[in-house]
Amino acid sequence: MRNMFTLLVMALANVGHHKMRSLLTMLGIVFGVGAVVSMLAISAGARSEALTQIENMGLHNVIVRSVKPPLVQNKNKGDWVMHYGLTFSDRDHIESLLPSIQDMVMTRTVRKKIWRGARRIDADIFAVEPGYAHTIGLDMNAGRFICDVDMEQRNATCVLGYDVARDFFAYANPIGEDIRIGSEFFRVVGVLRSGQKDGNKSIYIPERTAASVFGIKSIVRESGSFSGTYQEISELIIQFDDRADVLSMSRAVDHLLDKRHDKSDYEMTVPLELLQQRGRTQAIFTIIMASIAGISLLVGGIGIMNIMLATVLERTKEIGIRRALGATRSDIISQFLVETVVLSSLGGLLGLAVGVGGAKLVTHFAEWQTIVSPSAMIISFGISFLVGLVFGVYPALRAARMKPVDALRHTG
Amino acid sequence: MTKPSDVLIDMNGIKRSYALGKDRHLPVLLGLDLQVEHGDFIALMGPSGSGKSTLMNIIGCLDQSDGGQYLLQGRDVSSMSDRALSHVRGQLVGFVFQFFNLIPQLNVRENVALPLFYQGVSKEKRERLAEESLERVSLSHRIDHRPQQLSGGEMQRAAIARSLISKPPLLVADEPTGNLDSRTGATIMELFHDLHKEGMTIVMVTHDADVGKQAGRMIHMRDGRITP
Repeated sequence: MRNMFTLLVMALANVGHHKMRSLLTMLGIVFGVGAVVSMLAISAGARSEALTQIENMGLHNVIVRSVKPPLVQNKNKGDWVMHYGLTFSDRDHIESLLPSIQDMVMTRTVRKKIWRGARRIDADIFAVEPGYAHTIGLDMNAGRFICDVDMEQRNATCVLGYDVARDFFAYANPIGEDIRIGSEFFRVVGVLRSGQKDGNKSIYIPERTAASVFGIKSIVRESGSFSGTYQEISELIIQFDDRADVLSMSRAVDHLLDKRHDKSDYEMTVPLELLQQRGRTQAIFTIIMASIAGISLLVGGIGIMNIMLATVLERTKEIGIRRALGATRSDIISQFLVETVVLSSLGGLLGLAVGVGGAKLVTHFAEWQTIVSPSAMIISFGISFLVGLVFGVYPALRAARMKPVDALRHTG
Repeated sequence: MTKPSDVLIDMNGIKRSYALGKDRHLPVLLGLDLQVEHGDFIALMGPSGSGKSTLMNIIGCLDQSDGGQYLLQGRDVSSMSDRALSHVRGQLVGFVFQFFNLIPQLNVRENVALPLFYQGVSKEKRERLAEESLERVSLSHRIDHRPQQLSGGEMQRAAIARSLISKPPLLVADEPTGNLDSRTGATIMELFHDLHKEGMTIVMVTHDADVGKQAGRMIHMRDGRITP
């Protein structure tokens, strides 16, 4: 392997000598590596997006939601109000029995219409406790969140999600203004920052105010008949401290609730579990992508081998001359191997450009997040190098196996 | 009798045959003896099919005999490995071919320096020796040209410069004037005479009797044997 630099220069000169052929030879590798790079970028982008979503739910949290059970048996005959879901007593029970709970917040969905003067908009109304914003990690754009005083005095205050505030007030300052929820007026005390999970199209009001003004029963009129539900807590978010094993705690919560509910009227979400499931799906996706990339690189490699075999045949005379001038078999092997690796590596570099460009296009047109990581670039380039090395061996051996006399006698 | 150290090529009972198919062989050299001393200028002559090219290939270590012994400068090359034989070619033999055999994608300097590349000589030294060698054949002005830009005579002079660069004791020339007009051929022959005067041993294959007569010694071949 002496004079590696000269071999490289000669290989580059040869590649440059047959520009069109070299480009066509590289094409398979170019697109193979391009596909690998852009697919890695797309999957990394999708993964990071999904992770952000899951992490926004809080990795130390267990979220329990009330759901309508499949068959509701009313306790009192003739009562048309359905009782189901989590109760305050469930919450107290969990709090008193489970250790390492750091925080626990609830919401109750309020089904009322929202007005500002004659304008009506659709938004979700949540009755919450003061600690909610902190536990969920909601940030304020202006004003404040619901506070303890609001709860104690049952103040008619509300906090608007960013989009709601925009819809009602455009660019005017909503703080201190009133909106109407059902038949009651609520004063705006704060606006959330935009882009927070579920917060954009929500309105938050103090839980006790909601309970005393609207009651806990909610009645919906549907095509002439009334249906009512009685649901104390719509969603309960239990936050465990850093040292707690969230997965086993979530099973404990499930166990406690299961004993207290004879029907399945709640469901649990454990973000940490979602994260782990996501990891498993990601692994499958990665395997599929790796196979596709492998196949395309295999095809690219075979393309290179094919052309190199033709090149060896075409340059038989040159091989003979070099052998006559003292080149050993390994000199000839090095020469053609270096040439193949140079071709495939150049293809790999072009492929990197194609892949990064492709990822940019996907981001631009499909608005998917893509991430081109340095490790993905190094791996892809490394693969193209390896492809050259592996598929260059056979043509190089063919070149070296020729007898000097026969090679010299070759005309063409 | 000559002293053993004066003998450059010492061949005894050299045989070579080619496989024509299963169990069929075409014998080309039928047990041949040849001694060439340092400083000899030999013309190898004979009709086509006489085996002179085969003999030349064996002398130049491009091919190996099936039988007999060949000592080149005292080294037994008839049983050498391919690798060792490659090194012998690079260091002991300079080749001049009928069709010049320069590599088209390399320039004259690189072509001339090529044998040194395979001996692991540094780039600076290769280039310096290539320039010296080209000066020897009066081709310094063409150093950066490609072979395609040279005339036939210039290409052959470049090829001779290449064959001299390792300072080998033996020059093997295969029809060196066969592809040149007679005037250019004459200048190439003059170059050979000069080299011969400087002590170079030359083995030249030719079928041109006029060219052959210029050599110090003519060896005629017929049917795989040297005829007296």
